Amino acid sequence: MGGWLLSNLRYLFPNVLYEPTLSFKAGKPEDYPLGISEKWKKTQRVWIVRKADGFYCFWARCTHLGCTPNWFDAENRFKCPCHGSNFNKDGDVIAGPAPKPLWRCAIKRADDGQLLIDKARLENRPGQREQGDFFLTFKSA
Amino acid sequence: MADEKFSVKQYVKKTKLWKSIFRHDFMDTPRTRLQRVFGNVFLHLHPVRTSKDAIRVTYTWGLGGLSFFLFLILTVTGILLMFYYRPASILAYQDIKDLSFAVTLGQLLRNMHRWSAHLMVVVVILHMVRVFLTGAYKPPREYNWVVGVLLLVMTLFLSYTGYLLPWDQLALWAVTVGAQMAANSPLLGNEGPFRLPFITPFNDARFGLIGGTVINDATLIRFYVLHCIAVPFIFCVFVCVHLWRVRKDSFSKQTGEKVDVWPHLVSREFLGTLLTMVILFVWSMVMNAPLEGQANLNVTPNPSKAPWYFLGLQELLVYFDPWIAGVVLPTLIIIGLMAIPYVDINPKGVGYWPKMKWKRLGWLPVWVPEERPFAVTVFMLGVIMWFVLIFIGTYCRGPNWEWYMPGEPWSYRRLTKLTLKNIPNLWGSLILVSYFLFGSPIPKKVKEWLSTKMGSKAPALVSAALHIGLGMVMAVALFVPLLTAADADFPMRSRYTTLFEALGRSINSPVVSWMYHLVQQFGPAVGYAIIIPMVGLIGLCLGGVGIVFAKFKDRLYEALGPIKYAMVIALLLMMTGVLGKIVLRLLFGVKYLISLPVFNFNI
Amino acid sequence: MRRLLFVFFTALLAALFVVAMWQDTNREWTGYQRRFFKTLASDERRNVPGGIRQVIVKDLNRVDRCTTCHVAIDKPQLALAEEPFKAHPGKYLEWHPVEKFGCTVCHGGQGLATEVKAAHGDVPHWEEPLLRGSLVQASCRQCHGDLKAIETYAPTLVQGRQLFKAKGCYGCHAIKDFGQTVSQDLTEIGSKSYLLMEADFEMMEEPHHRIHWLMTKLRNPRTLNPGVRPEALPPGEEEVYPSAMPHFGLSPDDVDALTVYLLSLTASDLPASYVTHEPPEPTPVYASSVERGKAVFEKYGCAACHGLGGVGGRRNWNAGLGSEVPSLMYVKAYYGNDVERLKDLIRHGRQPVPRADATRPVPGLYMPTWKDRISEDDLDALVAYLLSLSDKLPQPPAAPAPASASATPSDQSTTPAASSP
Repeated sequence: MGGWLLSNLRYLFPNVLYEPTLSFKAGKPEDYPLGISEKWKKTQRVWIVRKADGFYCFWARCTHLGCTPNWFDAENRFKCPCHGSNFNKDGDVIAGPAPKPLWRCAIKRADDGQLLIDKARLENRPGQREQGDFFLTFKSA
Repeated sequence: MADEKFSVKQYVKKTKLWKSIFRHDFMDTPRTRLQRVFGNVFLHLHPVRTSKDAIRVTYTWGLGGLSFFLFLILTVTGILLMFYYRPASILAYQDIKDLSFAVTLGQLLRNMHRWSAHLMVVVVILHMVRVFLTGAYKPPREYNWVVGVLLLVMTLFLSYTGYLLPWDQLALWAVTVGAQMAANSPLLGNEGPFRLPFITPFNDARFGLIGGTVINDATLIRFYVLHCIAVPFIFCVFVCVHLWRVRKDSFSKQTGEKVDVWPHLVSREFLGTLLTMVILFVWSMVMNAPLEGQANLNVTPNPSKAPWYFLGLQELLVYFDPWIAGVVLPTLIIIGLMAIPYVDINPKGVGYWPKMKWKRLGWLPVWVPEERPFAVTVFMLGVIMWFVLIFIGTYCRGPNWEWYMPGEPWSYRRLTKLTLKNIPNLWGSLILVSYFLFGSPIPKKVKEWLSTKMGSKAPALVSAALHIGLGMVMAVALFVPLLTAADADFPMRSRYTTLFEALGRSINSPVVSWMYHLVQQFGPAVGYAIIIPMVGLIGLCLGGVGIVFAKFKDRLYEALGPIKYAMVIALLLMMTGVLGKIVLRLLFGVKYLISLPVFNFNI
Repeated sequence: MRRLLFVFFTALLAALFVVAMWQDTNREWTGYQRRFFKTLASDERRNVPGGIRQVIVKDLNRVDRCTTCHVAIDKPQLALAEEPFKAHPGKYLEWHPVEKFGCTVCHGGQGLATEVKAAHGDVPHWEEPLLRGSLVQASCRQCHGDLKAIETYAPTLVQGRQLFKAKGCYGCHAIKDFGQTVSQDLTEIGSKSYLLMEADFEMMEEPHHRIHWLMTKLRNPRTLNPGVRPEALPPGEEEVYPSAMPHFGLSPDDVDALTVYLLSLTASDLPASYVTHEPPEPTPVYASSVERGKAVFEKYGCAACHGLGGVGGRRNWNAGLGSEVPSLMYVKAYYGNDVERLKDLIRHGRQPVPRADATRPVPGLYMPTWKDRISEDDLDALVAYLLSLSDKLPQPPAAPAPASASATPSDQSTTPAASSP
């Protein structure tokens, strides 16, 4: 009886998924300069951010109503043209009506050494977003 | 020939065909009345005779039977809808539109299904309240109460799975909100606290529920099967047990002389069903079931609200993390409900509604039932909290889950920024520990030992000292960090170095703002001279509340014994703790008392 | 008593059921059909089936029930003079047979509906409004990549596209990889969800749909996005400037044309058998470098910020130099000696634009980078054009010949006399 129930439970967990993969390879980490890269903004709607100790990746979608903000290097902030939300380098809201920080995508290294971004997994809570799958440690030589 | 008229009816009734189906005649004799109930498969669940007082409408209001009847309506309308509905994402929405526009009586059928579902959730909850208030869960009926709670859970689950089927924006995002709560389960959820090492987004609780990582066709077919076959089947099994138990344990009201079930009970039941049908019909003809735009994973409506019966929990998300508001609290509610008959040792109150009286609690006049004041008050407090939270979630929350007065027009241009701060973990733990210690009783043995050692007044004094001490600890543990702790968000996310400044200058922490402005205006010496005694006063009040209930707690402990008492007091304190946390958030701007981001654990 | 109640409720239920059946058999469309069928002779009537009529277009994944009320749309011989019994105007149904295209792919609206308001999309939660009048031309672009070929039939659409280029919209907006990223990408603006426009809907009148939103935005961008003054903000928050999109002062015709064009920019992806592609544009030949530069100036939409012909005058809040985008008429004066510096400015842009008031936020408009977009040859031509703009400036008065200047005070006093033409 117990075995039957347990096997039913396992049966209900699918082994294959019919979902579009939201992950893509973003090139070698060595090729990225420090700071915000807009290389994949148009095609994949992400920014790749390199700090001295590693990488993280933002989903380029304003948490207010879903427009695509722009990065302004000289002002050190993302600005959304739709209603004026401003986000700092960590993704926190510093002005405007956005209710939450920018979402970060899961980032890790693929087998061939490229960065592998997974947009299906997102995190924006301070404390959670700077660790685990959402921050890739990469020491600059 | 003249004395016996030929009647078709009489002729038919004498045929073998007729007699093979109907084994009794239709005369109004006690024997026929018995046969009609006893010999009919659908009616023979009823007793042949029952007490006159039991069938009075005002005893049960027919809520249990009404729930069952609504389930039947839902089954019939559901089966009819199944003839036109195809559970695939590219077809489902179109089929709902077809039902609304092209199918004869399709709109009516759809409306009836939707409104009877909502009505069934309400009626099932009211049925539970009725059973509680009339004490019909007490021994020997405890098991049936548990079966009833399971039926409640199944009703909610049926409603939730059905909610997804129209595949419109309302459906998709309401289910997303619910699925996200599953992802936040402790241990088994990918985003919950203390996630087990083998849990990933591809095998956690959420994955099992929706059959994938995003809500798509796999979810739709899964919910369809659950909604139409799997859960109704299990539901029927449990309903059989439930109704069987009502009979076997005999109906809770057995006073007064007995009357025949046919016609007296059956006629009332039939009238009830008719009335329900009329109401449902009118409702379905006048109001259309909602249908928004086609489900679109790229665009989230703002606000995205769960189905109304889960809006209470979604509202709690303001004050608690999803794993508490969405997983722990509902689980505790269900366990708490199931435990009620086993911890309620008061034999009084079975078979009648509680008689209410005005009494005094200290100096406060309260309206309490005469016989089961604790049980009824606590239960009704829970029920009222549940519905108040639903009300707030439905009518007082707009875009970005901001507060809007009911009827106030929503605006997507609001620029409110809330300043919410965490109490440092040590102080937060102190608050929580002292809060739960409030529930500790002073057992009789301890009181006796105290009396012998330190005189007859000692137990009362010790109790008072204990409560006041705990109250003071709580007050101090709250105010000291608010006044002195550093702001952990400085400088990246906050422009102020201390919690006092950050919260004091915010718009959402009235108490701290008041204290801050006091200190600003009158200087620290005067300011703190006012604040510190105020803190002491608050501690004394908290202690006072404990003292007022001290005697009751001790009596309860003696009556229940340690295990049952611990369960009851823990659940009670958690329920009032919800209220306390809401107060902390609204008046002090406190977000978390304990925050361990590494484990995803925040209270 | 109970018997009475029983009889009453049963009767009531039966009555309600009758009412429900009656409502169902007497829908809106039955009335319309009945009216139409009355005008037909009996043999004509035989050939026209009643009931809900629908066109299933499998390739387009659409089911259109418009012909339930618009019975004579493809039967000109039976058509009447009043809606909904008119025949389809022009030869469009010959070119686009109903069985292959349906109705909603061109006209919008809700094909599955059988009630007037719902079918026309005038209900909440339906985001494909009926495209009335010249707006229907917006749908042509879904299949017809070559707009020049259909210009006689879709004049407003073609005009809209020309205006989009002429007014310089590409200077800030991109469509399908061409254009700038100063503001939002417009590739799918025609199918943008209403859920993303809620904040703008608050600032406009009814009706709250995409057509009206586009028109309001084009007429006066600042009505939808007036910004927030510091007084109205929570303490410590920065002010939000009004929309940086310039007010172009478009005429109503221009607004209509641009709306049609923007509505045509949808996310629709029709089967390849339906679509004809735009032929490649021939490479133009220019008479001079300046002319080529002018074409570059217009192609990349510089006029949006710098004005037509570079006259300037566009508002840029809190920008130094008078809160305006600089005029390009004085480029020669500033960069005539150092053309390479001008080229670098165009290549790398200037961000942020220096502020007039350092306590207020940075201006919304800025000079974007063009080095990945404008080739070096085009850049040379552009610079030649910009330098030539100064020729259009009013000339300073000609100085008198130095020989006659024996430096008498009376002579000197008369020198700055001649005014410019």
